Amino acid sequence: MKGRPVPIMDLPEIHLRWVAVALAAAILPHVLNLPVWIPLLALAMIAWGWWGLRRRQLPGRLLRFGLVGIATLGVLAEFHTLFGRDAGVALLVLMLGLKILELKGRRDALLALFLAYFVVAGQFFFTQSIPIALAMLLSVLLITGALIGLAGTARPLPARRRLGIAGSLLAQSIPMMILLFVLFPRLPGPLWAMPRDSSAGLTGLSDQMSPGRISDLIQSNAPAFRATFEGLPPPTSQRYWRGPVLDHYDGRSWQRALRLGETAQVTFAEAAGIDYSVTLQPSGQRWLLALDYPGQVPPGAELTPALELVAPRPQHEVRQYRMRSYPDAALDLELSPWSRARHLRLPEDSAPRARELAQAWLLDHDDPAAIVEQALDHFREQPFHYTLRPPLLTGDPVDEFLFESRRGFCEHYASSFTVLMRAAGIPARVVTGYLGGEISPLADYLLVRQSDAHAWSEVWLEGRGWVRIDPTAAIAPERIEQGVSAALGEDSGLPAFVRASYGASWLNRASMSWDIVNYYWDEWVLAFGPERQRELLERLGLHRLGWTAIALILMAGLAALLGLYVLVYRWRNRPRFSNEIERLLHGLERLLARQGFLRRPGETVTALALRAAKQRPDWQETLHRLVEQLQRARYREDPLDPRTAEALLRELQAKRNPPGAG
Amino acid sequence: MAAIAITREALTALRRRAIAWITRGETPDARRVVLTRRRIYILPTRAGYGFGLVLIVMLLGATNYSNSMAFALTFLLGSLGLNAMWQTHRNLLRLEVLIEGVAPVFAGQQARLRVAVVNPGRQARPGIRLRAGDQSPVTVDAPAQGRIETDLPLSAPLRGLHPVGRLRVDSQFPLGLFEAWSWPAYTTGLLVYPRPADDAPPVPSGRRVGGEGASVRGEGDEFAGLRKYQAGDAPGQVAWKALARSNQWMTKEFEGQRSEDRWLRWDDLGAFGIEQRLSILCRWVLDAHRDGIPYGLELPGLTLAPEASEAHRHACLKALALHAAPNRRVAP
Repeated sequence: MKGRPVPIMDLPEIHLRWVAVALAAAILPHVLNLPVWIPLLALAMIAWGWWGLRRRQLPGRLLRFGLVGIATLGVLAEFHTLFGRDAGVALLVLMLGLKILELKGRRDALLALFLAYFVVAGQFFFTQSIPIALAMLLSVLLITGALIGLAGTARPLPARRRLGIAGSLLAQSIPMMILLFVLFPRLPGPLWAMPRDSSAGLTGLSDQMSPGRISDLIQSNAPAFRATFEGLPPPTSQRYWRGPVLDHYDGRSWQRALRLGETAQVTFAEAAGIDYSVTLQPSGQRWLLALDYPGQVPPGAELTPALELVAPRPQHEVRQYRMRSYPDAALDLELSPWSRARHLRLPEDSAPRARELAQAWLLDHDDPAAIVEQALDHFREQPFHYTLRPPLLTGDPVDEFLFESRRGFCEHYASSFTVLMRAAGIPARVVTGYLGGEISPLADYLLVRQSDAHAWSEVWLEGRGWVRIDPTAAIAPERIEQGVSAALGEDSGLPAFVRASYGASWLNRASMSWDIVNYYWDEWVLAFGPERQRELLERLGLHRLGWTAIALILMAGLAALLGLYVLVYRWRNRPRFSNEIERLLHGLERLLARQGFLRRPGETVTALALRAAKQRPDWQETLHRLVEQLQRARYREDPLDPRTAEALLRELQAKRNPPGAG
Repeated sequence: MAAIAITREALTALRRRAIAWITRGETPDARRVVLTRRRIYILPTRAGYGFGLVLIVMLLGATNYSNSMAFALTFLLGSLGLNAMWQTHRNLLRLEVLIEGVAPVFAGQQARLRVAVVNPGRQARPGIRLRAGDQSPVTVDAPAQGRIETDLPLSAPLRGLHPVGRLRVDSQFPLGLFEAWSWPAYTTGLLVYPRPADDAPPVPSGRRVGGEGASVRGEGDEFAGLRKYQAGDAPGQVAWKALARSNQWMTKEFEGQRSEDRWLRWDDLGAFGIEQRLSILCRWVLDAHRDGIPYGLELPGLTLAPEASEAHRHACLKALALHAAPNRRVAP
């Protein structure tokens, strides 16, 4: 179908070119978030629009409707829905591309640009990193530049001028933005239901553990959370960050069981607490990580009987909370019969050989603690091997691992150890979380990455409660002491950052320095929500004022900034005189102008003054004296006495009402 | 239809009164108004309201997802709007709007008002839109510390001397989200001649009107002067020497023709109403002037002696324009 010539609009072409560039700037970063055909199709339409503008041809209505249909069907095919985060943003991006093909006038152009601001905002639902924030500034600059073109100047402004105005507007807006960001009352979200796909692309611990799940996490270099300790951080081997506790085994995978009617019983010595704060990355999960064993609950969260910290909703945003943990706490010194039974349960037909082995240990030892030691010795003595790429287990995962492959990593060891314990009549469960982390060399915080994900066991022993046993430590103690890369050695086609040599490399140093920037970004920008706002107001002593007063403070702050801008503007535009004579002439002219004596083309101020003197006998003498002084100073270079001239001006001012005029 | 027209009229009247009330503190000037803070008003435009809606939706989205950067962008755009507001206001502030002049027109024609915008500031003021009444606006970009002139169309429906009245000066620069405007008012008069009648009786000839001693064209004996040649003048009267000298066609006039002076008299048109008489007289003035024949004008209480000059034409037309016109507060 051939493009039909469209009567091109009430706008000069150059403005439309700007609109096209602005839309492209809004769409381009979405290449990172959406299936790549979507932004590319939108950009292609913008290119078409650009080309069509030059030829003064845009596609006809039928073709446009066809394109809308194709775009909608494409989104439907890609996401199987038109709603939710991904499909919604994808549709918005495509519609923005289509909009350029039907720009008819100023209103369409304005609509397209407002939509473009929206598309820019859409990026932040995928990532809120610093580079994306900078890209946002650039897009906003271009969109604003395009908007300036639509504000109706007689002739289009040159590009530099537009960008200059847009840039200075943005620069003026940033301090106000910061003020609003800090003080604008934040409501805790969500206001309506979160689309289901809003956690797509996030990684974190899941509430079940089946073979392979954690090794996926270990392959990710992404930060899981960062922690700042008030005192010294505990040694690496003590940094067990507690996540979901899995106590139900179905023969293949571990899950969380319902724990009705149970409460945690924790005994600890108050003095042994460790204080720290955690800045948690969005995980799409509800877990809040804490060092073993959490002794307090962040606002809004709850503590389960297994000492897991659970937020009321999946975490889609960076969140910060303060914590206090007691590494030496005793957990559940009493175990209810019901709970005991639950922690011993194994599926009937699972792991027959492991059960046999456990029965044999049970014959040798009376003391459960001795059986635990026996099991750990078993892992140490048999040829077990720590690897992130174990062979696929096809039969019973525990038996096959324990007696055949003997190659695996934390989740294999934790799982089979727990099964062995249960088979030996010792209540046991699997705990997942993170182990270790890296202290930033430049700033004082601990960075825990997804690759630090770990799984271990807890067994319940009479008189000691739940005791942490990490079977991985028996096979690969360096995993516990130095992290996963040390345990793996120079293996094996894995990502560079999990290799042993990585820790000392310049790449790691650079990455840790960049992580510091991200740390402050997360802590001060992304984690700034209702809770941190309250905290900050408390620190500023404003929390007692109530929101009305804070809104007033906010408005006063904005007004003060505006006033400052006006003052700076007036100062920069103040009249400047190269000498005293000019200043006096300017004052004289303004005085005369206020009385209705205006300079005619080609008339000097002194000529004007003499003309005024003729009409105003009351001014005559003073004006003549003043003019004489000024002219002498200018032409005979007599020294001017500014004080006398000033006095004459004031004299005129005093007599500004003509005699007899009201 | 009539009802709609009446409503529209009522609305216009209401609007006029509202503007008069708003601007009650502003005194009109003869020809120069400085747009001071007190004279400038500002409100969001439709685009501005749309932008506000976008911000509200964005704020809701940011709250729902607790998305810090979406908050930041919303606040950035909000601040951008706030700054655009004072910059739009500033774009008009301290501009001088001067009436440079306006040529007389005939009733029903469009006058062209010569307006100058003087920008005393160190920054250019782009996108200054000027408008007189409901005529189409003209946009100018006022350069830094400079002036720019333009012609504004101005409607002139009725004869007389009317003050230019209120102009509307507005600007949406830089973002188009706000419109700042001012209503500078001027007392400088716009002179509107009567509308020339389309089907007027022929211009009275000198002979019939003058009555006595008129001689035949070209037959006088005393040379009186030269006038522009007109089609139909006898070849003997053409000033050939003048033509040879200056390549201009002139006709020699002789003393005897003086008596042919035409008189355009109010009283001769007794059969018509006042405005119609004025219309016809206007047409006659134009025709007589075109013919280059001296003519005189006689109105009740006013007589203009025969003459054939541009100034005379203006004087006659002005007399017609102001005839029995109600007094208005108008600067000359």
